[in-house]
Amino acid sequence: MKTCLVVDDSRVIRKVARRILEGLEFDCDEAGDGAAALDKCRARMPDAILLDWNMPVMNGMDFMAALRREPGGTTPVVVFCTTENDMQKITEALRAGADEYIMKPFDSEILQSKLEQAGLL
Amino acid sequence: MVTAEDMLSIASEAGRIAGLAIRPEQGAMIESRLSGLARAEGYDSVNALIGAMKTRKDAKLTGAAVEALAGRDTWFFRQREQYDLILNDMLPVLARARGRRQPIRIWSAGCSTGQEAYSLAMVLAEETGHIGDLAIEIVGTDISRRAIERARAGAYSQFDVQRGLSIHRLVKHFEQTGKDWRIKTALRSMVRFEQGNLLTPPEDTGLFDIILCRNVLTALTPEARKRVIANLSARCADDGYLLMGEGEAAYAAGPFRAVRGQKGILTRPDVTEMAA
Repeated sequence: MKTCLVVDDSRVIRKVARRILEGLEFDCDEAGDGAAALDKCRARMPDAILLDWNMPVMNGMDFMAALRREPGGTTPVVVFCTTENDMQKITEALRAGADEYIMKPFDSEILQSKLEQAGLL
Repeated sequence: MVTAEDMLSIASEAGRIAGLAIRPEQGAMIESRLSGLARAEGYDSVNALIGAMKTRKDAKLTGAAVEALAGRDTWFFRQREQYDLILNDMLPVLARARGRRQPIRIWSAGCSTGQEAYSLAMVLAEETGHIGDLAIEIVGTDISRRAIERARAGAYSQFDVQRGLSIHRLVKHFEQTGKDWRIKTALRSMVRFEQGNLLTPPEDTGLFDIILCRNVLTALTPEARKRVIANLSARCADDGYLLMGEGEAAYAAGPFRAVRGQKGILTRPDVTEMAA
């Protein structure tokens, strides 16, 4: 079973994403900010990370930069999932190492499609 | 609420004009698809629109209603594996057969709002290895004037561009225009869209080497399917390919033959070569 870490400061978004991901047979874990997510990755590197951009403590971009420097940190497929929906932000995330990008709001069909694009399904 | 009598009347017109098979239990679908047209035409409800269709006997209004009912859901790179087959198997074979003298012609038959045709254009624009500098013409047709207008505009919602399309292709081939995402001019210029009814005998516009008619025939009556297949056959080159949706290949038996091991891929019965 593939593992996915959902990183978002919204409990609602984490709950919705988790429900969809578990329906797609992912083993899910959650974190409310980048620093907590980094701790979780150090303990167990997931196959995929669904990552919000704007979060307290450590935002998504800072988290991804730190993740990619960790041992095994280049392995997870990072899918940004954010309200930052303009081309400039998307390009910035891709250049920084994101694999896919979901513009909120999203639904199960979009999440599934993006996971397929990222080679996770 | 659409009445049973109105359902019958609409189903009859949809069958006559577009070959659509509308079942009694599809009342909610009819209501949903006609609600946009009702608003656009200034009616305050679907029932008011249907009433006007019956009393005015306006062929244009009835045609617009049937077009709305014929609309089908589509998305970028639907049946993704078929794009790989086009690129890696069909185009090299066709390139050898055609040489550099004539363009390879691809028809997205029942193209709806254009995602299929633009997906093809993206694949071809990105590819240089297999097909080199081949001249390729992509044509999309659909019975719906509104769908064709949307396809020509090449503007899609945030929801549309997240179905089937990778973020890398979004960045490469689209530009952001307000809330929408628009296909870049270079890619739009690779595709031509025309309104056309698949039930109508083809005009003399030449033969196509690859025809995609996917997830269209399932919505039609058996008689309409036969007519469409005959029309597709009349426009398919002798060594051409027909690509269909899952479970649709059986509809084309006779003029076409399914390629063993390739879902939805058909050739003429006497063609033996498929893969390079």
